Amino acid sequence: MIASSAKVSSGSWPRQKAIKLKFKAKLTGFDGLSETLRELPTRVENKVLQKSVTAAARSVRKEFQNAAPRDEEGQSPASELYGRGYRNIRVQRLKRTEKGQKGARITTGNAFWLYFYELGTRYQPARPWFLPTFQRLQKAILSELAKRIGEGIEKESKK
Amino acid sequence: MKKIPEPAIHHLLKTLADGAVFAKRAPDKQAPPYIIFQRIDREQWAHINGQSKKAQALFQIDCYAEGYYSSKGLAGRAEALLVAITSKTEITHDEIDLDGGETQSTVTLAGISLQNDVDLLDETDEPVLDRVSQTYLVTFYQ
Repeated sequence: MIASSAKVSSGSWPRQKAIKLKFKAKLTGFDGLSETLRELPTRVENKVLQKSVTAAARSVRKEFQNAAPRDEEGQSPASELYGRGYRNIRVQRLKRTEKGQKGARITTGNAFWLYFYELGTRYQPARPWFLPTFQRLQKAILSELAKRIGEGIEKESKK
Repeated sequence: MKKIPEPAIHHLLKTLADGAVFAKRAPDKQAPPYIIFQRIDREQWAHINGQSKKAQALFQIDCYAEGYYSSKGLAGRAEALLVAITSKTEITHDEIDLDGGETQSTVTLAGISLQNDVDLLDETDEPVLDRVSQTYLVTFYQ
């Protein structure tokens, strides 16, 4: 059994902490591979897990970009300054994680206005796009993660 | 016609913030404190015999006030009011009918639970307002 975790955040805006959606998942069905993973040096084990988590997050980045609200007619001053919202959506590797965990973050970067869409403001209704996309893709992320971990272990054990 | 839970939520919250409770957005230059509510999701089930009479909706309820503890206090009172609905409860509220006249209508709620809450700061206008954003799962009879 292999436990891993991923953190997904919807970016940040000035003087505002990022809203973090965390999800922890336990992947099962790796009985043989799990033993192999444990036999690998810790450095390699960490490498396999990190690569897999980051790749799983990257595999759905496009879906988040497609789901992000966009103005087809023009660009706001903020969008002109920081770039189109969907282009700001990136995947980052989480460097500070708890022991035994690896993480990746899907961030909206400098596109703070995407945050306004997600949660609304006092003058703007909330039009959630990030959370529904995340909920829709949760299974896909997990299956991609499982696939990548399996491939990673096999590749490393053959070396 | 299917019942919707929005008027019941509005009715329950109206006892707070001197009745300054708004759907989706606040009027321009509205003085704080106030509450904004909106439905952000809805789920319903179908049985073999048709649609279930019960449905669930996610509501985002934002409590705005000047000052961190004022917003927390308002959010706490909203929470106490809403999560007190733990069983079948009928909420009677005023309703504007299609002819513009006022009638009374009843919505039956089956329970409300807090899913999460988060402290935010709204800087979109002056004064900067503290905001507590809460998400509730509302089970109701439609």
